[in-house]
Amino acid sequence: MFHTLSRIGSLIIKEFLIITRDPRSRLMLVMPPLMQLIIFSTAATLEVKNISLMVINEDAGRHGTEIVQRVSGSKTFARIYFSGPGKDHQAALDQQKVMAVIHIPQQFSRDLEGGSGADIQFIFDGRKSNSSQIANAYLTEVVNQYALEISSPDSALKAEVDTRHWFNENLLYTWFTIPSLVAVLTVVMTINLSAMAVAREREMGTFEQLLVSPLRPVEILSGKVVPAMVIGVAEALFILTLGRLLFGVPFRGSPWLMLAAISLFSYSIVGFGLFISSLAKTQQQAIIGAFVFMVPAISLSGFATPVENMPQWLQSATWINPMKHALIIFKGLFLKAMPPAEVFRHARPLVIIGTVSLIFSGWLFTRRLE
Amino acid sequence: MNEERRAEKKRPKGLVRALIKKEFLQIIRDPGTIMITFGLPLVLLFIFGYGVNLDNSRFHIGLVLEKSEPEAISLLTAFSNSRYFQVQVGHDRRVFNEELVAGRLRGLVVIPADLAQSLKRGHSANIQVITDGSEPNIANFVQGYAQGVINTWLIQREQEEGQSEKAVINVEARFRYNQELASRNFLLPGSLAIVMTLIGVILTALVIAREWERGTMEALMATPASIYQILLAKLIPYFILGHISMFMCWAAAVFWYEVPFRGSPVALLLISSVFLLGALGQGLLISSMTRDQFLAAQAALVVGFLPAFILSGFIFEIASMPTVVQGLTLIFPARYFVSSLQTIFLAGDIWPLFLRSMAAMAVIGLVIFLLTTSKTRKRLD
Repeated sequence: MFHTLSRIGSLIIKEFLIITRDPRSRLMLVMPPLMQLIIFSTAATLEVKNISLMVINEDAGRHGTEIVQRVSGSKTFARIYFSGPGKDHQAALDQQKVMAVIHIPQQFSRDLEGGSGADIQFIFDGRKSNSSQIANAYLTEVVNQYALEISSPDSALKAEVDTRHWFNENLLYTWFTIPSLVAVLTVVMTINLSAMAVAREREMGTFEQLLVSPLRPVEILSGKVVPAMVIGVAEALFILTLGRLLFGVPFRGSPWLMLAAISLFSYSIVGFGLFISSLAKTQQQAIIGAFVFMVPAISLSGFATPVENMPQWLQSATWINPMKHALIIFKGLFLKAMPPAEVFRHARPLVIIGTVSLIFSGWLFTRRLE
Repeated sequence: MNEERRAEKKRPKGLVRALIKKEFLQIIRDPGTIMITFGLPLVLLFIFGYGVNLDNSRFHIGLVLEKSEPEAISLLTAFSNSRYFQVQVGHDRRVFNEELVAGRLRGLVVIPADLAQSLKRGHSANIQVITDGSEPNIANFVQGYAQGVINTWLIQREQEEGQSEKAVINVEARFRYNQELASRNFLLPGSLAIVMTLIGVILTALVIAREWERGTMEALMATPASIYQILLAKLIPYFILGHISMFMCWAAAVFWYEVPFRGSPVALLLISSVFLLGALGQGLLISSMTRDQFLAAQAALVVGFLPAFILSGFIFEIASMPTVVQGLTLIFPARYFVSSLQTIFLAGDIWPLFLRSMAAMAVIGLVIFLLTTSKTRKRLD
């Protein structure tokens, strides 16, 4: 037992030396995550603001002007171009100078006061359908509210809807991206490290030396798992701390649960990484393998778009995606103070994924031994 | 004399051809390259065709009825008839709170016990909408749709009671280029930019970094071929591979995923050529600077793939980013390529936009090539 531990210990030290020996590799562990955290945390947003808008107001009455003023007062629209009727708006939309056009027809105020129902037209750039829909919801809301107010002056009272956003009162998008980036950036770093772990030694021929040493396969495997996991956990904690310091994202859950969740997440990623590594014959194959894992893992995790928008069969398939479970736990612990039972429920798949892939990679090693 | 000169002139061409042939043989024998060129793009198209989806399905919300009376039931019906919501009804909000923490519900609507009374007396009826703010985009939609359902219900109610003066504004919203509002229609064209980045930047960086690592690059340098000829011979095969892959993705997008294609093939070929040249230059630059496969892969990911994914306007709206980050997007060619691709598929040939994009990509590409040749030559000494 003691021998095993000390042998694993020396292997771990050896791995750490390999990773941190090259100054450029050391730089690679710190700089990219830091830059990505700062840039992507603010860039990866589905928020809609600063939209360019074109207004074609043919209405001579006060209602058209009133609506335009209400719209232009909002943060959603930054640049507002005024134009006459004609083909102008088509070219502006085509060339993406504006994303939305409001057209208020000539008889708008008259129709509205006459009680026959007035028409207003919105045209959006469907090349950006998500932003267009949000803008549409916003504009429609402004117009409806206005209609309610003028139809009976006191009805604004009746329409009172009290909206509250739990866990994130002001809907700050960084509160969503920072917990997600803890997982994304950890994956980017850890999967490459662990996928290269065996492939590099194999390409250089040093893996055969390890195999002929008195070390048992389990020991070799542990020597590869532990350093990659430690770096993964350190990376996650680094991003978590920076995210809190730089962006003031609250952390409401238990820190110990978070540490446990990060470790298990790291474990599942390293499992996948070593599995890729044991399949790959060269470093290049390992890198490509890591990539083939990473792209679906990140895109289908709920980071870019919600998991519930996927077709049902794909939602079920995302069970094997460690990122998906990690995002639920991380966001839960950051913002919702998620209770332990709920954390364990989502952590269980991580343990299963990691263990199964490690068993497979161990089996692949020993098979190559014979 | 003349013949000698002619032979000298001929030789370089023959050299480049021989080098290109060597590259092609290498590509065909390398399963990794084939995987990146043909396997990965299809995986990506699958992900962006089915998995990444901004078309909101019905949001699961909880509806709390504090008192079961006709007014409340009528509002409840309005919610369950809405195509935006999947409603679970309960009488105690505490049950729903846990579901909201677990993420199984995206929002709560609380209909107060005094709804009917307040409405009758003309008081404000306080309907509460609670959303899961940990998903801001969803929270926004839930809020907007809930407000819409309630407003429509109120207007209908007033009309039924004959109180309203019928000051109604009919909103007609049109979404040009993408009537059915399928996010797939703009995500798939955008994902072509990611595929091209994969081949141009990541594959090129990896393959050439391996040559540096193994020392075969030095062997090439020792041949009579000049540095330009070597670089040219490296670029041409990947340029062709990139176009083959592009064609495959285009066919899959148009025929399998049924994304409309309203522009012309000539425009597509032209724009993707300009983008691909810049991307190849980026790959070359990374490989000459790192000369190590692991570092090259990490660098290609950081300056190639992730910007193409996040800073290109492919999913995330550039106008919503902070000004500094918006400025940063200008130096990544993916931004111009994505908007051109979305336009060429959905809107048609809009040359003013294409020309502007191509000019920007050409300038970036030129800067990268100048850097590459200076880096590569310096390192030779």
